[in-house]
Amino acid sequence: MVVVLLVALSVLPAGWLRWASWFGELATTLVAPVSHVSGAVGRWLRPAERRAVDPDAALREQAEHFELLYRQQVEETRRLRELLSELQLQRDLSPGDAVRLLAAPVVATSSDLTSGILRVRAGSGDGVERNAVATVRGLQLLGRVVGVSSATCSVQPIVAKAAGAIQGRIILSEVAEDGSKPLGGGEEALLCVLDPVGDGTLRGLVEYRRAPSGDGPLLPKPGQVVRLDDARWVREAQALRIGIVRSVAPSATDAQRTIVVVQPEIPRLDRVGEVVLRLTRREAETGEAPRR
Amino acid sequence: MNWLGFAILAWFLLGLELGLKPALGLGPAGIAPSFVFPLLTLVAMSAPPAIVHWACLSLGVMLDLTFPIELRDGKPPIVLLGPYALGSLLAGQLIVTMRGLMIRRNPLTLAFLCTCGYAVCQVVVVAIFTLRHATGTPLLWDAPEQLLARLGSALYTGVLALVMALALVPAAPWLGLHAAAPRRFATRRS
Repeated sequence: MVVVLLVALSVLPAGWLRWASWFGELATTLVAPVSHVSGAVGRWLRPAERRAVDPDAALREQAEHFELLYRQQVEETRRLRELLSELQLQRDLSPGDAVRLLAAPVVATSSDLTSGILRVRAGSGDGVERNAVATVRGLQLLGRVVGVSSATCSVQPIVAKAAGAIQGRIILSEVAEDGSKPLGGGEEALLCVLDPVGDGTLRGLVEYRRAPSGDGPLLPKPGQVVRLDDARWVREAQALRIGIVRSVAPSATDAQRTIVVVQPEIPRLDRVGEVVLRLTRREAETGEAPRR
Repeated sequence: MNWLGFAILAWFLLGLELGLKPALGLGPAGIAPSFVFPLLTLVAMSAPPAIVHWACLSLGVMLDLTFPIELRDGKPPIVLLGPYALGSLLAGQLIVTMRGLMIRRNPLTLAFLCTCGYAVCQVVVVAIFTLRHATGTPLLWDAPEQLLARLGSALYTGVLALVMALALVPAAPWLGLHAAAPRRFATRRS
């Protein structure tokens, strides 16, 4: 009887099995005391990143943080200008929502490693909603929330194969040479569509664009930063760092285009011990769905 | 069998499964050992068949519940009750069938049976997911790749079981499991 029931459950359509997720969250919560501690031991044995002792690292991180704020403000200004010109009504402008950062520990992974989902101890009670953005230290994009319960949420990392393609912008020059061009604006960046490879990196085609000086096409180089520029992600996620270009190769199918391999700054995003969720204050306070 | 002891041990090992697995993973294919399966093997080696079936089902259901399955296109993950439960049940039955031929107190026996049982369980899991993939569930699934990785995980679990046997075999009496089943026609003389 039980076997027949399990066989039937195994072949039921996915939409009919949503109720089982509640039991899954309950089971994960019950074993969290052990999985959290053992996860910490695991991360100590094999950390997500090996950080070299570098006295300038904190300063660089700060600079990165302010650069992120700057880019987001540039993007926000551009968006507001477009909105203003389109609607010509001040009252329809949405004032930029303040971002609330919520640090939360990863309490469990999956019992089967084909699923890259991380269980994080922050749920709807903390203002987390589906599609909220998860980062590492607030700057490195980790993924997005794909499921929320009252006490925990499930985060799907961008490097998980099932996460699908993500659009980014390769920043060709971090600072304009003459200081007149804004960071990340205009011809200084190239769009790319990246697919997770499965080994912790992302790979994809880069757009073809000629240099304004007419010296041939603009080409990405290893070491350049790739930032999120994808309309399918919430606004709080835009301009967050996806990773760094590790290699560039010509495309096998289109001679004019190149393929880049991008690696997140944290080599193993699936082994992080803590995530920082970026929530809008409005979203956190009223529970309104995040705007795209 | 001491069900309370079994539940406590299962809770602890499931916690290790969810916490330590990524750290012990090998390569991008997701080859990683199972902490729960050596316990299942220990029970299947020593307990009466009816108890083995219920223990396998309960452990399999717990593995299913803690396996959120990612779907494509950003759809929320689902939990599927069945693959690991059925796989564990079949693995338990295999071990029950094979245990009469084995020296049960030898740690190598636990490792060998664990490898065989986990391989059978994973074949069932791959079969069910392949069927679902073929019938339209938006899974990211490559059956041959998955089968190879999971058979690798079975070997890895066998190695882990050899280490865990050092603690599990002595703990068998605490779980109410006896090292040897009573003989069919006579009891063992002490």
